[in-house]
Amino acid sequence: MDWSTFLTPVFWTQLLASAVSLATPLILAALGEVFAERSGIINLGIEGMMLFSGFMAFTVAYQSGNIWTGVLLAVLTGALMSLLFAFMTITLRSNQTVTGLSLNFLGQGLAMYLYRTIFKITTETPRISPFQNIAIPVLSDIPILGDVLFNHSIFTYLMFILVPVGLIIIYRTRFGLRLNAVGESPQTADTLGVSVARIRYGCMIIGGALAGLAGAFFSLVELGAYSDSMVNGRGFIASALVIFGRWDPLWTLGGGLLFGGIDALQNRLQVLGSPIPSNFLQMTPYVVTILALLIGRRRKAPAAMGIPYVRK
Amino acid sequence: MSHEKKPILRAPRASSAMLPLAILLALVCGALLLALSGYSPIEAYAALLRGSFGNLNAIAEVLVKTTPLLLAALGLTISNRAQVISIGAEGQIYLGAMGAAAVALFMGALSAYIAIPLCMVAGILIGALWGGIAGWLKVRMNANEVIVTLMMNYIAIELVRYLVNGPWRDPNSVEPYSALITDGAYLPTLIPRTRLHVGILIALAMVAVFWWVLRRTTLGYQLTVCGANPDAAEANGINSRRMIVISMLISGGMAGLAGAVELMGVHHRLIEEVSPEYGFTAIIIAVLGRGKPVRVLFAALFFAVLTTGADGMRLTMGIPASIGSILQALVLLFALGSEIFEQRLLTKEQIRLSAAQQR
Repeated sequence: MDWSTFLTPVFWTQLLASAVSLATPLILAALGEVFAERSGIINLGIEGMMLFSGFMAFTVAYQSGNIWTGVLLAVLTGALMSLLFAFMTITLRSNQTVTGLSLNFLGQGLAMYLYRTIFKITTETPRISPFQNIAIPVLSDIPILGDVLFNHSIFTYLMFILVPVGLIIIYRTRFGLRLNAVGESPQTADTLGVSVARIRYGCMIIGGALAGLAGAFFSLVELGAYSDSMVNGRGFIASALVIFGRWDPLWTLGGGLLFGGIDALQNRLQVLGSPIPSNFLQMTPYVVTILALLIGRRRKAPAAMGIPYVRK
Repeated sequence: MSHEKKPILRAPRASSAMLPLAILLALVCGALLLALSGYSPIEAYAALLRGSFGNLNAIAEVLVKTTPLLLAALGLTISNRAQVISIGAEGQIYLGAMGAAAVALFMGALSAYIAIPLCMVAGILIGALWGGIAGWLKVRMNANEVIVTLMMNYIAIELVRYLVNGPWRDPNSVEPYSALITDGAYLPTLIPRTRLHVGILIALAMVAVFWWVLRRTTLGYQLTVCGANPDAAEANGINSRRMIVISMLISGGMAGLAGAVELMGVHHRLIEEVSPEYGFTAIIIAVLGRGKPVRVLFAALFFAVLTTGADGMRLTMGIPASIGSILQALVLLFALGSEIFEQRLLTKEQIRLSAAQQR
């Protein structure tokens, strides 16, 4: 391996640009989960929701020939799956962790089953032409920074817009005030006339829609196809990112970029033929996730997270 | 009314009626899905039954799949009792197989009486270590055990992939396999010309062991108290942090044993795909088993039938085998969703009982 590659600006530009791209689905899904967890619901079903939404996005984009209908359907699919999750955990008060897991099994099973029944087994993988990068005029001409930040797919720009929007909603609106109250002390919120169930349903749908959007990223941007292993644990990494990001959109953005950076670096090292076996490089995002959980534990989780609310 | 004779609270009949109902609803949903994708549900379910009960080989195959599912799910029963949710069984199965392979590949020719227990102990130890780390991180660092155990799965699986592609790879094999283990470490076959090995007997023996541990030992009692009410446990001098680590050690050890048994009974060499997600299916089985070993046994059998039957559906009708995981997920979802109704029935029964008592 030629270590001098590390000193070239091209290497760093590519590394950072790929970091931002890899971080996009993580941050989108984690941002949605910030809403859910702040309102008191922990959804560990993101992985399955992302895979199934990504599958729906691909299928619809493939059949209709319009990639945007794919995006729309992914968002809808994510929202519908989270609605099921909300019904189970809020209305039927089932255990959130186990329900999240069953949603993973369901999402993964459905995606794998329907992909095979709809596309049959062909020798050639069905493909669509994925979303292209859009270079933002003027800004993308800035050396290094232009390529790192301003030459991405629409999903990344959307992510950069949604993070401040999330910040404003959570800290500056009535809805934000209520969702925090519901997550910290549902009893008090209920006494003050806030419907705990309605706020939680709302937050779950936001979370599901964003997880769906993130799922579409894999099939419509990253691959231009569907693959059973396209999410590969990144839904769970997004869950960990919420804890690492202290249930705050801005910290989540930062943490997500860091994760993207580590993933991009291990990818590069594999391509450059590092002396470290590739299996060990592939472990790094998972090892880092565990480390991030240990670092992220300093802030306390929303007090009512994971606890079903029963009116007394 | 007398205060001396309080009625003993027993599970109402409703609770045992809910699971068959959940299974029925799941099968109905599955039938709808099959019909929508152009398969005849009746033919498909017939193929499922033929695939799992049709001949001796099919029945043997069900029991082969029951073995790792049951072993791993029994372990998870322990951690569920302590209210720890471990998703780590899958990785622990891989490492258990790796541990057993390490002994069986490199210890030279050993007598079966030494090789088999030694391999099992290696599998148990490494699985317990892997689970124990997650338990320790939870009590020491307050790290969410769900995410930690999940991430540790990926790490364990990559480690096994590294070994079979690199240092342990059999140079004479085209596929990424290790060499065959010493035949002293093969688990004896139970029924000739099938894959059924004595692992199922080990798993059944463990059902009895776990029933005894949970019912009759201090450890079983402490685990249950600590899961049901941590504060009460502390007040009674039970160290709940210690219980969490112990329960993770046990569940990890059992998944490790499942991996070791799978290696010695089925694969006879370390391969990339040690387990077709047995570790994840075991989680559902443990949840449906509700902490009762005998119930876990039936749930494991049922899920083994679903998995084997799904293979049969794929082979005879070309239905994707993932219909099996969909059915499993649906059973779990319906069972979870019905819990609230069960609780309501339980409350009603309690009210009825206390009313009867007052009369």
